Amino acid sequence: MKRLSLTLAALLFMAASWTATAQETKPKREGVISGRVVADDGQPMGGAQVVAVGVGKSPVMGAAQMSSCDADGNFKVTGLSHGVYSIVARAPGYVSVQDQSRKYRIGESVIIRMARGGVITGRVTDEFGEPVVGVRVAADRVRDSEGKPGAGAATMNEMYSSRSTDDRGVYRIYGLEAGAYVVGVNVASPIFGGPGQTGREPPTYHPSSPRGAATEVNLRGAEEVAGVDIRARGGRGRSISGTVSGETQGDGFINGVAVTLYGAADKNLVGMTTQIGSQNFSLRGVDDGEYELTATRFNESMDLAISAPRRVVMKGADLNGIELKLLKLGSVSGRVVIEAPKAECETASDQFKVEEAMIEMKRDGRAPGVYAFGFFPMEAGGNLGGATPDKIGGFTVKNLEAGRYRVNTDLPDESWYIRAITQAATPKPIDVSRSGLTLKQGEKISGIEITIAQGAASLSGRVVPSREGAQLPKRLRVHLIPAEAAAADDLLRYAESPVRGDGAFEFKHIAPGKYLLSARQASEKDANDDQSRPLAWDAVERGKLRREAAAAKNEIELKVCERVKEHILRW
Amino acid sequence: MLRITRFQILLSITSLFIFSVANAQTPQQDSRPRTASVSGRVTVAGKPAVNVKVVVTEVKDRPAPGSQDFSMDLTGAGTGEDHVALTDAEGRYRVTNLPEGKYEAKVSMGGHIREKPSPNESLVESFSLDEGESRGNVDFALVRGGVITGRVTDADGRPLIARAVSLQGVDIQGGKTILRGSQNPMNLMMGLDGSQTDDRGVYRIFGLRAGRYLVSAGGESDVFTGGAGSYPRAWHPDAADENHAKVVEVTSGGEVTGVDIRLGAAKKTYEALGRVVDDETGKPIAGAGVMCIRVKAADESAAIDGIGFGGFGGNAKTDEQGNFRLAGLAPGQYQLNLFDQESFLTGGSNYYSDGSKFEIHGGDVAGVEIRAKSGVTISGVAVIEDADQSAKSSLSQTMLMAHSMPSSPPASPDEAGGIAGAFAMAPAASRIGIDGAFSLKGLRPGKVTIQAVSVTGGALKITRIERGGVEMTEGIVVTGREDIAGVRIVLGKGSGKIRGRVQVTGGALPDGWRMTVTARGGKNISSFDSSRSYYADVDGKGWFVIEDLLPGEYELMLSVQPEINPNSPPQPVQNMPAPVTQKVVVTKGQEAQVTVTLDLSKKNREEK
Repeated sequence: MKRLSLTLAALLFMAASWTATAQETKPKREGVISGRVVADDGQPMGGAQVVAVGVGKSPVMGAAQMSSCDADGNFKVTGLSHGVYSIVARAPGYVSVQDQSRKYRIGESVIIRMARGGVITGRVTDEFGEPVVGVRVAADRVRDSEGKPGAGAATMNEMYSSRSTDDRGVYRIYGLEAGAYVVGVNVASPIFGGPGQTGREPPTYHPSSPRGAATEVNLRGAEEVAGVDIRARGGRGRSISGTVSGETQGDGFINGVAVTLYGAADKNLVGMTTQIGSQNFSLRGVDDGEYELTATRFNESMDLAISAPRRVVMKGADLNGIELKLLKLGSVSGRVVIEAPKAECETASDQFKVEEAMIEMKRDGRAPGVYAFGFFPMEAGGNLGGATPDKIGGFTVKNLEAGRYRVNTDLPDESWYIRAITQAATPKPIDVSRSGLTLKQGEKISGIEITIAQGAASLSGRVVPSREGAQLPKRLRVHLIPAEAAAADDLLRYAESPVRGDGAFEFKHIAPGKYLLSARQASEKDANDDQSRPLAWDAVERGKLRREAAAAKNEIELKVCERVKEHILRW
Repeated sequence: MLRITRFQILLSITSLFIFSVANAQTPQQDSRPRTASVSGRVTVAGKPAVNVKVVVTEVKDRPAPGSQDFSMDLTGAGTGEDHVALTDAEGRYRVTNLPEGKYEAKVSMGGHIREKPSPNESLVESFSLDEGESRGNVDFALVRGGVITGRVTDADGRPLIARAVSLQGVDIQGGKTILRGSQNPMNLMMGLDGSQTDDRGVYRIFGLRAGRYLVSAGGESDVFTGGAGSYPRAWHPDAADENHAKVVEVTSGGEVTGVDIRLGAAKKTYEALGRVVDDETGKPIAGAGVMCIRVKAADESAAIDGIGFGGFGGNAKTDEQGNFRLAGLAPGQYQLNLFDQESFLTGGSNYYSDGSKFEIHGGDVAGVEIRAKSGVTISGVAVIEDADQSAKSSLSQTMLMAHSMPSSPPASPDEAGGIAGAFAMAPAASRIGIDGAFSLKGLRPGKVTIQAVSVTGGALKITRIERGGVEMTEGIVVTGREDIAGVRIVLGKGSGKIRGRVQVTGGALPDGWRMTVTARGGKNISSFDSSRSYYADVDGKGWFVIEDLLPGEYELMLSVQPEINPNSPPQPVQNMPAPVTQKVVVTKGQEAQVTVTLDLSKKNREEK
């Protein structure tokens, strides 16, 4: 077995990025994404590493490529096939300060900004005041620097957000993003499982509390917050155990099951255990309280099965014999069809590569299983719910929970827009763009056709207060509404753009035609929710928008391939 | 290095499952009588250690790989029950109401070490309890460990973050022994290792035995620098080699500060450009994956070596002209091969390559060529013997791997051994379809041996390989270019058992050493058919059990090793008894009994 493990170890452990199978297409563009990593403090970022991960693909199985930066921070990720990628940079002690969810395509150039991370340090003592040596201390970010709650904020940088105490009981966690943290020992984590070193003790957060009563530590940037001491509470906590049943066998070769325990109210990760080859699970060191238990089955191709969250109440006694039933997840598959161009925009790039369209399924209501997906790296986790088509436009978005979805497409080129989204049916295809797609548990929907046409227009401009010197309200959004009565219910022709601090807004991939513009303040709930449905999806809101827009009379006609800039909209 | 995502870590841990298996158990009804107890004393420098936690855990035997109950708990949350005791004013602890079994007592005194150096440097004592036994004197005589701390900076005085710091122990004669350092890549990656610098470039190594040390940083295999560039190894304070390094003297429990290391200029890295072409047609191959490893570093200071692996050079994919680009390569000798991870798990590539070598001196290299050769495909059907239906689902969880041994000897010792060799001879893998179909592609000429691998339980083993009704006992010989179809692979679960006892004569085995029995054989004692090798620990009373064996003759090998503590220095091993071998025949469904005698009085001992 030594030979086997050496081979496997060498091949699986050492390799950093993998290739897809050989293709026959001849890409005209070199498969390169290049750019530069720059640091806020001006330090050269030589040696920083940049990874490009393909959307919807398992990073283990072939969709991650990387590059190291030269002494000036320049990098070049090569060998990429046509597709859509997330780009992440890593440098010890630094954090990324830009939107990690932006997607890139080959031929693009990226500037990645990093800033020195913050530091939290302190001392851990036991209930007798003696230093606790060699225990892991984790900093869990509960809110980001803008005050937004970080669901799963712990998951991404978690590996770098925990350090062990030294012989004096002192720990130092560095490279942290700005935000509010709770800092604790014996804390559960996707990597280390737990809670606890021995899996027995419940977590203790600074200063000496269970999570609910923890004192938050605020990091405003590249600063050091010292004295974040923790006095371990000791004790044993209780255990939750049971079995995982249902869809335990997937198609993958390496099937594992992760069981996660979350606080019922605050949705914080409290415990996690990962098994390969066993259906029994056991979590220890759990305080009394109310929780949600979920099981996720995963494999090397990132095919998942999830159990419905199970509410459990821990009060004074171990919980045994809990059965979590894994349910199949659904998928949506279909084709992206390129309509023969009737018009060609000047700015159209050489060829539209259908592999560079990104298809996303956005679910109405609660964000799909963020908790379960927290196990996966953000590079891939952010890509779950998305897929890119193959060379002939076929795509499958998998791992979808039951619910109602709308189809989103991210197109690489300004000159394309979505003409129609339909589902094959008799006698006539269903217009999915209006009705959305409803997926039952484990249902596989196929025959979705997304038609893309050339000739898209784009519009950008600024919202300006009508009264000189007045302030623009927060959470402003600009809505683009089709002017023609016949298009009143054509959801593909509605669009929304957030308004930046300086009033700027932007629309791309717009079908040529007549439009009305309307500016509206979004509700606080909608503004904070990344998954929020476009307002126009709701028939009642749509009607309101149309009336408002008709009254405001902000008309604009967008011709084929037209690029309108500097359009002023008065508020 | 790519900060490997946790899923990849998961996968890599999976691949090492042979060596690190824990058996997660749900708390089950345990009706064993709980009448045993254990007690002992914890002292620090001879004085009682008060209010110190001692955790006593029952240790379940590791199931042998390939056994039915195989499972892996990655989070390490479970072995058996934990019992926590606190030491009293005299440093004494006691745990009662224990069932009989094997146990480990661990004292929570990080930063401390055993007063006397011993093979067992860990703060863990292993012992076993009989029903009703009162075991005493499970003591821990400790002293505070020494500390070395300092800062690592580059040539311009800037702190270097997340760098590994290594220690070398200097023995009295002035010779050198490699001690621990940041050599455990997993610990290093996860920041668990105390000897990694923080954001100020500061490191702190604690728990050291008094003595003299050399302290160094840099020179890591490029893989493990975590995105921070590569530097040649340098010793405190700023020496480029060991001869000019300043010796650091650590007293018992003492702290030495200011042990700073100033690294020289960052290693300059270079590029290699090359092509993959079809060996026969000369046409370039687009989208082919290549993987490159460094077999020899120019400065001979690669942290991982001795097995022909001087670092990971990276990998790349070819563009439509069949060209690839590898960047960030430090000077040294490299080996390049075709490699495609995705297909390793999903299907396989028809190509193989013999590996190309290139060398980087002080500049970029161009024109490296890999000739992709069309390999042979071995295909057929895999079935389960005796039509054991319960095992049918296990077929889909079983992967077949084919290893090729070339018919002619390797061109050089470099190509033969270690990771470089394994890498060049990367196995072909095939899943087994629902209908039992398999297809092993891209095999090079030579003798092919096939083994069955599975991650989850129900481990099936190959009992027969047939072609055209003829049993292939020595593997399948691949010649020329013809595919080999119609191969029938019969798999089965072993049902034979070996139950044995080790008798130690001529002395007693010292504390802190354990015995392991490895069984090799079955139908073919073939050094390549490694699916035929199993092992088991010998328990406190000398018993061992190896299960799920296929019938045949096995060679048992009893070996003795010191307890391994990954965090402490490997002690020089003296007077270790030589392994003992014995043959035993296993038949289907039967338990073979055997006694192995370990005679400690024998003169032929291994010395290191």
